[in-house]
Amino acid sequence: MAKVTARREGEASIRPLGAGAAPPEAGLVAEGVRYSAGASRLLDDVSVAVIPGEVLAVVGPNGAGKSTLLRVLAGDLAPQAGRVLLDGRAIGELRAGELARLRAVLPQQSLLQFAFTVREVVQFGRYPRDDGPERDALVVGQALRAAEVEALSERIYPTLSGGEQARVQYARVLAQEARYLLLDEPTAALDIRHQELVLRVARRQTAAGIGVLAILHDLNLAAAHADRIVLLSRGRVAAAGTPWEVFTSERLSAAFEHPIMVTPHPARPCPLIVTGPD
Amino acid sequence: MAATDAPVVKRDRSWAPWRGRLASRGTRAGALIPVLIVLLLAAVIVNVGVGAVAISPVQAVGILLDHAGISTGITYSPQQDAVLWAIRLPRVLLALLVGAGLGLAGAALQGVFRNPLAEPALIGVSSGASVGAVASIIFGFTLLGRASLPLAAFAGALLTTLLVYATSRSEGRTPVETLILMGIAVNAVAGALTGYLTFLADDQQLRSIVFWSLGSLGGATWEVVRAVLPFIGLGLLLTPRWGRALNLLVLGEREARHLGLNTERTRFALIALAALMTGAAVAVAGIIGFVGLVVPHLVRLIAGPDHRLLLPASALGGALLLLLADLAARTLVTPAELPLGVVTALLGGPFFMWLLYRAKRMRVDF
Repeated sequence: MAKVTARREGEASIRPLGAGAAPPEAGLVAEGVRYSAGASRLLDDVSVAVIPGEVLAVVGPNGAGKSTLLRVLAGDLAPQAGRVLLDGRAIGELRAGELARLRAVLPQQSLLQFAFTVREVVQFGRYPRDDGPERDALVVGQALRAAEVEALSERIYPTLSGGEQARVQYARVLAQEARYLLLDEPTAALDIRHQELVLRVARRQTAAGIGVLAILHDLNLAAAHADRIVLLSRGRVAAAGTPWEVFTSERLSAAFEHPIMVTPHPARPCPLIVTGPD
Repeated sequence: MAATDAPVVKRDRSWAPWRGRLASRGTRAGALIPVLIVLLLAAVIVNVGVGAVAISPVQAVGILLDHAGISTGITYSPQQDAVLWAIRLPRVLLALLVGAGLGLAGAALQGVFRNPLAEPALIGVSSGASVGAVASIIFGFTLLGRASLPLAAFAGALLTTLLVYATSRSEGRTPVETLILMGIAVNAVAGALTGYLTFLADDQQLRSIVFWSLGSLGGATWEVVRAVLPFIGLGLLLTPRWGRALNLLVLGEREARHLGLNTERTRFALIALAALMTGAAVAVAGIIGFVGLVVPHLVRLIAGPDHRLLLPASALGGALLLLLADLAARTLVTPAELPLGVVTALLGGPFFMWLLYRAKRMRVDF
C-alpha cells in the first residue's frame, strides 16, 4: 500500500503538459453527424462534445460506430451531413499543421517496421510544434515518464511488446501537447495497472484544460475515470450523460444484447458493471 | 523474447549485446557521412587509375588539378591524360550519379511504402523503362539520334510510374497498399509488352536488348553525363529535404496526417523525384538491381533509420557501391567487361540473404 502511495506522489510531481488557454467557445463538437460508407450507415445524427477539462468515454458494442466517430472528430473523415467544430471553427477549414497543434490522435494500433528508438518515436510527437530543442526535450521527458516508458527510452521500438508499444504511442500523443486527445481503445493492449495509469494520466491532463475522448471497451474503466459517457449503438447515440445516468442495467443489456447488471462500486463513487447470468 | 516467467535480471542480460550497439549508434551516425565521403574520393581515384592504361593516384590527382587550372608539376603522359579525361572520368561521374540516384531513390521509396523491402522497381520505373528501351531497339527509333533509346526508356519509366500513381488514386488519396498492388499489375503488363516486343526481335536486336537489360556504364561520355545531370541532380538536391517528413510517414499514414504532415503531397513529391532519378539512371545505364534495395538497408544497420541521415548517406553509399561494382565489372574478366547489373546482383543477392538471416536471428526488422 505504501508503495502505491509513493508512486502516486511521484506521478503528481510531473507537471501536466500544457496546451495554452482554451477560447470561450472551446470544445471539439460533432453536431448531427451522419456518415455512410457504401450502403451502410455508420453514424446517424450523432452529436457529441469533447469539452476541455473533461474525460469523455465512448462505449458501445462492436460495429456501433465508435472508431468512425473518432475519425470524424479527428478530421480524417468528412461527414455527409452535420458538422464538426473545433473551438467554433469548422474542422475541414483548418490546415493540417494547425489541426495537429490542437488535437492528437492515438490510433488503435500502429505498425512501425523501422528500428527507431522509443525516444525517437515520442519525439515525432513534437513535429507540429516549433518550440525549440530545449522545450522538446523537456516535454518528451515528461511524456516518457507519464506513460512509464522512460526506462525503455533507448530501446528499439519494434522489439517492444504490444503493451509497451501502446504506451510509447500514448507518450507520443501526449508530447504533441494538443488541447484535445482522441484515444481509440488506449487500454486494449495493456495490463490492469497500465490501463489505470493511462486513464489517470488522461485525467491529469484535463486539469490543464485538455479535453479527452477515449473509446473504451471496459465499462468499469469508463465508469471509474470518465466524467461523461456516450453510449453508441448501431450508429446512434443511445444515451449520454454521467456514468450513473448512462450505465443502467436495462440500457446496457439492450445495447450489448447481453444481460448486464449495475451495482454501486464497493470502494469508488461510481457504478460497477458485471455480466449477469443468461 | 525471453519466457515471460524469466526473472527480470535475466531478460536484461539478453539485451546486453544491444547496449553497446545502441550506445554507439549515435557516434556511428555522426561519422558515417565523413567516412563515406573519404571512401568515395578514394574510390574515384582508384577507378580513374585502374585499367589497361595505368594511372597512379598521384598522377590522377595531378591530371585532375591541371584540368582545374591548378598547376602541380606532376608528370604524366598525354595518353594518360586522354584516357582519364575522355574515358574514365565521365564513366566515374556517371557511376556517381547513377549510384547516388538509385541509392537515394531506394531509401525514399522504402520510407514512402513504409516497407524496408520496397525498391524503385515497385513503382514501375524499371519495367516502364524496359518497354521504352526495347521498343526503341525493335522499331529502330532514330529520330533523336543516339539519345533515342535513353529518351524512350526515360519516357517509359515516367509514364509507367504516372500510370501506377494515377490509377491508385481515388477520392484524393493514394493508399500505399493500392500503390503496391497497382505497381504489381502495371509491372506485369509492362513485362508482357516487353516480352512481346522481344518476341518480335531479330538476333541483332535480341543482343542489344539483353545487353541493355543487364546494365552497363560502358556508354559513358561527357555528353551522357551532361544529359542525366539535371534529372538526377535535381533529385539529389531536393529529396534529402524530405527526411523529417519521411520519419513521420513511416510511423503510419494516419499518424503522419495527425501530426500535421500533408501525406499526399509528400508521397507524390517523393515518388516523382524517385522516378526522375531512377528513370534517368536506367535510361543511360540499363537495369541495375539491388543498389536501391541494399544500400539503405546497410545505412540503417550502421546508423539507424532516421531519414535525415539515411537519405544523404544512401546517396553517398549508392555512389560508392556502384563505383566498386563498376571497377569489378571492368577489371575481373579483362579485356572483356562484365555487365554491371550482373555484378550488383551477384554482390547484392547473397548480401541481402545475409541481412535477412541476421535480422531473423536478432528478431529485428530494420
